[in-house]
This record gives sequence, structure tokens and C-alpha cells, in this order.
Amino acid sequence: MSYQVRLQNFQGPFDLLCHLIEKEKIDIYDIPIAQITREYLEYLHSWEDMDIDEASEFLLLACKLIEIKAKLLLPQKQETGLVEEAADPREELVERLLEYKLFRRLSTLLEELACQQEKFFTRAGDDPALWFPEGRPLEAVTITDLAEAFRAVLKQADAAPTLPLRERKISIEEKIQELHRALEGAGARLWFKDLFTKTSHRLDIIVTFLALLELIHRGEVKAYQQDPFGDILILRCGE
Amino acid sequence: MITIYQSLPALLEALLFVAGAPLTLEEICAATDLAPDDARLALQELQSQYEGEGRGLQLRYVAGGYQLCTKAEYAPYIENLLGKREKNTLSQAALETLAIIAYKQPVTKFEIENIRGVRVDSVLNTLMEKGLVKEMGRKAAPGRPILYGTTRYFLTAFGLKDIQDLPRIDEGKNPDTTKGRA
Repeated sequence: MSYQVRLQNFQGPFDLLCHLIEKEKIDIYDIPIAQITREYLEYLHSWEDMDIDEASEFLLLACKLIEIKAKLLLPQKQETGLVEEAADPREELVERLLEYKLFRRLSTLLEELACQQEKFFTRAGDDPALWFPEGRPLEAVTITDLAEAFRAVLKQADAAPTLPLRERKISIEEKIQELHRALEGAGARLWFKDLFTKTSHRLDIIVTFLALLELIHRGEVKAYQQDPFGDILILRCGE
Repeated sequence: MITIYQSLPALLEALLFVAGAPLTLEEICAATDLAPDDARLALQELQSQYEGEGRGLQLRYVAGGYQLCTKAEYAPYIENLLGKREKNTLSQAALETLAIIAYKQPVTKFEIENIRGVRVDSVLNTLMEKGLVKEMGRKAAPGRPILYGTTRYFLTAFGLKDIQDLPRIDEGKNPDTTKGRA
């Protein structure tokens, strides 16, 4: 009976297709698309807990196979008096399969080379640490020098003034209150740009924008923007 | 200064022993003030000395340079000494990707994926981490995609003289490097 091969063992859709073609001893230049598509799909169906990321590439080739079959079924247009040499819809697929097979063979050749190479042992390999392009940095350095240097670094570290950095916290709710006050002061109508000065922190601008979105969502204000990236006009609702 | 040395092959042997990694002819000439032809002759002499009986080392031309390494027949004993060395563990996916890069370089990620039919991002990262593959600038095409090629270490790791030394398949159907898929 047919044996089950786990789909994940294949390197990709071409690998699977090559396997099917070789298994059935099919002439690659004359692939029976219907038969091979059926077998290909059977493999996909046998795929348990299919991972869509992995599967998408396999599915793509399934679509391609079905597309080719459809093209083969369609009657070729007969030009009157002219025998048109219609391109075989399988041609591109065959080309890609041959190219893939070629590289699959080349990759086994590379593997053999690597195996042979493992029989040759060299000194220290390519360790660049063995080279001293900048002279000998540690020449004439004693253990006392190292200890001295370490102490100096520690001393410096102690002396360095520390500066506490406080995290800025701006809540959307605060900004909403600010927006309300600003609208109050400006007569229920103001421009987004006017809420900031040149030195306004980026975070301020972002949170203010989020606050504005929240107000629009609550239906408390309306906003208008004439052009993309243009200034935004904010209007309090019901005014 | 060279005249004080009794034997040029011995001098070069000393250099190669210290270097460990392949030394190019230029590096050898720069270190010895030898003319390239003289250095080449001395290397040939050293090589034939090693080929004789009673030596455990050999001189190989690898990755565009000369390197001392042990003879293959002693590998089992060296493994006894050092323990089995870490296997060159490249997955089938990595080998396929490496083959495409080696034969078609410089090549973009898209071109590799087109041939393999799968995404190659993680495999490409592995190959770069192992130092077998590197970026080789960008292709003058829309999006200016990164081009990939093999490193000198790739040649060393696979025992190749240079990139032309890659094995060929004689079917008149070797990878056509002039025609990349768009």
C-alpha cells in the first residue's frame, strides 16, 4: 500500500512535486497534470495540524497546477489557415522544476565536498585573534598594571555625578480635560496646531491626538481636516 | 636577508605553520621579499616534500591561498585525540540555499525564493551567522534589493581553490548565471 511521508519533511512545494514525479517515474517533459495534481492534493490533505505559514507555499503550487490543468482543458483558438504553435502551459513549471532539481543536486555535491573537507585538519583555523595587526597590545603589561587600571576606573565611576531621570507620565484623561479647557477658552472652536508650542514634546502631541480621537468617539467634539497633513479644526458638538 | 636561509621551502613552511589559515601568494611575498615566481617554485618544492612518505602534513591550495593541513588518512586518529569534531550541520534547506547563492551570485533573496519555492529569510540568516554568505551590495533594480554572495570562508570550509572550482554537472545544463529571473 501507499506509504505515508510527512509533508514537513519536504523542503518545499517543488521538493514534493519532484518526489511525486520521481516516484511515479513520470517524464518531466510530459507531466500528466491531472494525476499529479490529485496526488499532490492528497499529500496536502494528509497534512495534520496544518500551519498556514508553512502551508501557503504548498497551496500556491496547488493553485498553479490547477490553473495549468484548466488551461489545458480550454480549446486552443484555431486561426483560420494558420497552424499556431500554442505554448504548452506546462512549460514554465517544467523549467522551474528542472532548475530546482539542478540546485538540489548541486547541494548534495556541496555536502560531499564538506564531508571530504572534514578529513583535513588545520592549525587554529581562521581565528583572527591569533593575529596582531596592531602590534602586541599586551606587551609589557603586568598584572599590577591591570589592577591599577581597574582601580582607576572604579574611582572614576564613584565620582561621576548621577542625574536622576524622571519618567514623564501624561494620561489621556488629563489631556481630555486640557482639551475641554482649551475649547472653553477659545469659544468652542480651535485649531489642533494651536495646542502646541515649538518646544512641545512629541509625547504631548501624540497623547493630545489620542485624547482628540477619544473625544470624537464620545461624540463630544467634531474634527475637520481640509487636506492630508493639514491642520485639524476642532469643534465642540452642539455649538 | 633571504640569503641567510638555507632553504626557501623551510622558510615558507614556517610561515604557513604560524598562519594556520590559507596564505595568499601576495602575503607570502610581502613577508619574505620574494619574487612571486621564486615563492611559487619554493611552494612547489615544499609540496613535493610533503607528498613523500613519512609526513603527516600536506600543502593545499584553498580559497586563493596556501594552507598546511593534515593528510586525510590520519583523520581517525586526530578524532581520537580531539574527540569527534562538531559536524558541519547544514540542513537540506540551508544547503539548497547555499548552492543557489554559490552558483548564481550575486543573487537577491527574491531570486533564491523563486527557485526554491519557499521563503528563505531564516535560512539566509543562518548562513550569514556561519560566515558562509555575505551581502554584496544592492541590485540596480526597483527597491534596490540586497545581493548575496559567498565568503572566502565558504571556499575554505568546502575546500575550494576559488569560486570557479565549484563542482559542475555535465549535462550542458549548468546554472546560467547571466539569466536571473526578474
